[in-house]
Amino acid sequence: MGDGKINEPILKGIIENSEKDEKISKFLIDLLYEEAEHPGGQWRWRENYRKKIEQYLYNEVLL
Amino acid sequence: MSNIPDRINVEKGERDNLYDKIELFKGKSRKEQFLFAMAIGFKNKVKRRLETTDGFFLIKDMRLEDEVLINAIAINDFNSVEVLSNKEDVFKIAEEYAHAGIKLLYDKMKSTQFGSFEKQFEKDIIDAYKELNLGEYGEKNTSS
Amino acid sequence: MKIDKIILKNYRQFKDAEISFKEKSNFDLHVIIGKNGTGKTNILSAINWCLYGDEPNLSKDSRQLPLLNLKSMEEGDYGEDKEIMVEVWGKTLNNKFVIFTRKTIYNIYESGKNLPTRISSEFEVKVTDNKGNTEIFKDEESESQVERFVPKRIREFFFFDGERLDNYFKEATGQNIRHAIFEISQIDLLENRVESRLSDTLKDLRREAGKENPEIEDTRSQLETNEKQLKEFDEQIKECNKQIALAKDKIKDYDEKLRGIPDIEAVEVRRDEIKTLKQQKKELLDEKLKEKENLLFEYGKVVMLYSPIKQSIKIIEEKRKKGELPPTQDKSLLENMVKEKSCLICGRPFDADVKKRVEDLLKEIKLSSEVAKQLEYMEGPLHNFEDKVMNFNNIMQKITKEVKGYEDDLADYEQELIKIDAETSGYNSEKIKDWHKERKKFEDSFTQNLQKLGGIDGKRKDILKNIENLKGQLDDELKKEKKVKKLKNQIDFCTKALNVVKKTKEIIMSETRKKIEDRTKDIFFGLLWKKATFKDVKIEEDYSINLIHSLGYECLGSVSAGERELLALSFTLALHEVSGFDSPILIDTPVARISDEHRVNFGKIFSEVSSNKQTILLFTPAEYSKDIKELLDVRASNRFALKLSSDEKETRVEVL
Repeated sequence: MGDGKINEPILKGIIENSEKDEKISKFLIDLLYEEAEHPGGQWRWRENYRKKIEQYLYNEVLL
Repeated sequence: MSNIPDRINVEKGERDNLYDKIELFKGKSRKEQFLFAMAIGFKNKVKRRLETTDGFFLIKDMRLEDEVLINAIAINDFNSVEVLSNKEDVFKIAEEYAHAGIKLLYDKMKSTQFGSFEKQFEKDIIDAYKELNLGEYGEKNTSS
Repeated sequence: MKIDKIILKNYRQFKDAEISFKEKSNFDLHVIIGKNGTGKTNILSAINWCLYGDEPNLSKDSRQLPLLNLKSMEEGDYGEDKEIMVEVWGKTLNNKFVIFTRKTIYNIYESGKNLPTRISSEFEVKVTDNKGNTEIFKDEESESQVERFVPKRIREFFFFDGERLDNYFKEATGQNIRHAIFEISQIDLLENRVESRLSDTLKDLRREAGKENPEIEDTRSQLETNEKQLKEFDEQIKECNKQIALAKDKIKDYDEKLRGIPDIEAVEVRRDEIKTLKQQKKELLDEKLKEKENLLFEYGKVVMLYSPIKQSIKIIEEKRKKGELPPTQDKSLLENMVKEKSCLICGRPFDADVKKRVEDLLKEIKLSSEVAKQLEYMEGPLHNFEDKVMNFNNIMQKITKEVKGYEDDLADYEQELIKIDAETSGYNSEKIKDWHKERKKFEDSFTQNLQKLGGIDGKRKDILKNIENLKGQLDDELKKEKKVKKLKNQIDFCTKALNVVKKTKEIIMSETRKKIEDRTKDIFFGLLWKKATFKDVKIEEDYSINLIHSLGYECLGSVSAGERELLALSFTLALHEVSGFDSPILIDTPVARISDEHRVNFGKIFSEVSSNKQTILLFTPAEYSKDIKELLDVRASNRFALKLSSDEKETRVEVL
């Protein structure tokens, strides 16, 4: 975080609006970084989104 | 007693060459044209004998007031009312003034610039009025 | 990111040049001075070409000139390959070094052609971190690196052409600005990627759950239809807003064009009205003049004959006094009796005595009865004529006054027509009419879209309510169905995440607009030289910018080029600052449209801006006047002069 890829106001907004639900905030920030890595928008997002939902929902990633 | 004429004459050719050339006369009857020409002649104190005659309008078409004007001129010209008993003389005087008058009017029209004859005409009439010394010509009498 | 240096090889006038933008003073300000034709604008082009592969700021004529340096072309042998290269070296905030390199190889006079032929082209981005690890990006990946530096679609907010800054707000309509803000502040990343894809994922999850239970499938399908409708309404609302913004923009444009120009169509209607009135008045005047002429004719004759009329009246009056009128005897009867020597009434013959008495009587009678009768008839009309003459003055005054009234009215109409002609002369009335028509078209579009928007909004609210109900229903159904427990958890998670994204987006959108408005205002009023003229800067919901005059009206259309450029600059700086997008600002011919008196102000403004933003300015020597030079020479970190070789085929960059 803070390496300039995603603007601070967005990161702050996600965290604040997630109302301390870290699973949600980290999931979304993860998605944002992932999307920023693919400026053209062409990547296998469909399966990755599903995978990330499962990962964050069932605590498969370290929060 | 003289013979009573039945018509008023003008000089031959005068009708076409003078009367009908005057813009001011358009739409006016022959009688009105004649009386006006007569007035001009009288005002300018000129009368001319007719060398030839050409009937201009019938006397029966004249109304009383028209005849009154002709009579008044004849009385003035003869300096006697007795002239009225000789209608031939009365009308002859009128014809002579008109004969001179129409020529004056025509010449005036010819000598003025196009479009200014009406103004000149108006001015002449107003000047004639002013000469009568009946009071100043102008707006101050309008309310009366 | 800042630009460290630009290296140009065989690119247009630059055969071999390097321009370094190292910060050497408190001002990260860099000045390049070059006469027209030395390639000043080509530095801006080179950056565009290197980063995006195009040169949008070049004129059509310049674009047709070969990209390969002319000298290089001449020096090359037949069939030899020559490489054009532009490198932009940059440094990010977290101390990464980035080198953007674009190379194109040309073959000289291949196959006997006069112009060199492009053989190959490549673009790469090299990123080195502070530990010395280097990554090289090519193709799509290299382009994404550029997008992080300055996104292509919003580059005009970073690389300006001063000649066009005056038109900045015309070209950058609210929609463009909105777009730029969304891109710079990454709202589009949130909206078009994360939000949109989470929505699709949510739909997929629900569809899967539907497969397990027909009831769920039914509700899901209804929900999807409603959501689809909602999306359609949102699209329509977006389109309406776009049309409203466009209409507002165009109306403003036409108002500006038409300022001070009469409404030709309205003027022509008025002209026709006056012509009709004039014609009517002319007819009335002609009638009145004819009436006057008739009166002159009728009264004139009597006036000219007034003396004989008066004389006749006098004679009649005298005769009446003497008793001659009315006549008591018939003079002609007596004359006949004398002649016949007998009384013609009783038939008795006259004796001498009687005859003498009748002859004496005849001598006394002055008037014949015929004349007397005529005189009596004349009396009434003569008095009428007299009255007429007495009334002549009044009658003439009355009609003369009436004629004058008509003539005055006519003169007034004539004056007005002359005024209208003077007002409209020199204008292309057809064009102006077209402008009015066009303006009306946009005004209609504005109203229609506003009405349409109201209609859609009502329907949208109903759909939203439906969606909420269906969501609740679906949730209940999912809860009941044990087979979809896992899917239900995922759906809940996804829904929650989606709500967070939407909320964040809305907050950022509104905060960003407000922040940009506040910062634009701060910067503009901070830099403005005459502070009392304006009261406020407003950025509307649709991102159209308005400058409010101290008297309260919108005045962007009527401000000077300098003030407009300052507002554009302030807005850009605010945009950079608020979005957190750290990029240099480069302006070609920055004071081209600025009047002499304000050039120094701009010099000061650029210095101030450069104290916390890299600022590169490209001046012509004429623009870089004595005043500006005195100010910027001491502050600029670097100053360069572009010098064209004597054969005009190569430009050298001299450090001043």
